[in-house]
Amino acid sequence: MPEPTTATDEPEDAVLVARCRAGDERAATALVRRFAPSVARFVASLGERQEVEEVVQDTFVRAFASLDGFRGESSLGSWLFAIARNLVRDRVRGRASRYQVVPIEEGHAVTGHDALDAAVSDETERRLGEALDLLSPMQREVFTLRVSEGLSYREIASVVGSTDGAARVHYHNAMRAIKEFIDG
Amino acid sequence: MADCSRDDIRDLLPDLVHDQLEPEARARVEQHLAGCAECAAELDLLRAMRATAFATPDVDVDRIAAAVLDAMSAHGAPAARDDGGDDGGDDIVVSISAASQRSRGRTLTGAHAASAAHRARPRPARRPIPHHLRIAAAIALVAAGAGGYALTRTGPDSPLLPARHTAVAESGPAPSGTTREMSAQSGAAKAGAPVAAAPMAARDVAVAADSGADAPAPGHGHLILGDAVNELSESDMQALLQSVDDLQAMPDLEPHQLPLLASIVEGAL
Repeated sequence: MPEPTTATDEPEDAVLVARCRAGDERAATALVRRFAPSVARFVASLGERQEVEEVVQDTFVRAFASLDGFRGESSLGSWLFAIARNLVRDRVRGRASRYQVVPIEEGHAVTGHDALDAAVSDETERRLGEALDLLSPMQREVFTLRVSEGLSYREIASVVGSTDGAARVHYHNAMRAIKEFIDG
Repeated sequence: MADCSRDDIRDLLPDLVHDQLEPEARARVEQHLAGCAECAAELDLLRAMRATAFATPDVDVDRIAAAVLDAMSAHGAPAARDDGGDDGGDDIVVSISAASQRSRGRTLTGAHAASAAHRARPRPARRPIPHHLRIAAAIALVAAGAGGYALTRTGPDSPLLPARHTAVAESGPAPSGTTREMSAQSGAAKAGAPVAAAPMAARDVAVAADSGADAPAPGHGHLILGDAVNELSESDMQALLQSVDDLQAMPDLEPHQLPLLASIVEGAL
């Protein structure tokens, strides 16, 4: 998830949404730039690695096409994640295949954590990726949204169509499974 | 790696990773972390996973933004404005919703981010078709229909079968007893020579646009259309032309693409 904006920083999401509704293309561009990386990470975590950019693009096209349906009851980010999730599911159904998880490549590391990256061994990195692969699809979605994007349980519940409590249980089960795999 | 019993603290660790805690909550968590090895290890694990396992895929955000804007503008969204006003917003939503309806059920394909925008881009307005070409198209349409009808009426033993040779009578008095038969492939006229491999549309239709052309001899079955077209009333002609315009499958006609047809029609007129 993008870092929260302040009053002196870039416009808040709601402001950009209002401008986008009014046809301000620069506001639309700002929203894409703000959320595209997060949506891309989430899409990739769902196993869609080959056509991430297309899914992200389609997510925004659909979102902007139905902005009147966005009432602001959830965050814009969680709304986009929900759209992206549905798109990935549609694609998976369309292919009539299972999720295809592509191993994490070295070049995919987030650039903001270079120091930490250096401290994490290749073996640990590989095992972390493998640990994620072992999670159920729901655990993976919840864990990704919580750890990678920093969504609250309530926001996660709105994305995955669950409850806050269920999202919390999925998160802790995923955390436990990952720890067991790493320790094993 | 054991789990700490303080689930309330563990629940906040991802928020600490994302620096989303209020000062009071942050202080509380950090105070706990100072004395809890399990939670400190879990925090390290979360940071490591965020850094490595949730890497950002290589996507071109600017290209995505451009394609999304193309899709929006392709369906009537107004130009960018800076005033932040919401007037006209309903119109935008309606127009963009139309785009969504059209894109529903499909996915943007493979390495075609740009092509997705291209598909969503408005099709250029059709260029006005020159009047004489519209008439030519109308004649061709009528000729094709009439020719098909004529052939339907004739059986395999009909003497009209040789008429599948393309035969176009030039305007003006034709030499008595002659008919120009033209290969639709080469455009070369070959007097009296049957054309064996002409395309179907030309093969099945013979047009004598001049009323002075000789009546087809038995066994040739030429279709005379010139008088029929000339006899159309203005309103009938307009209706005919309108029906041609309304044909979705009718390609845009370019003058340089149909020199033969244009010259024929101009000659006929």
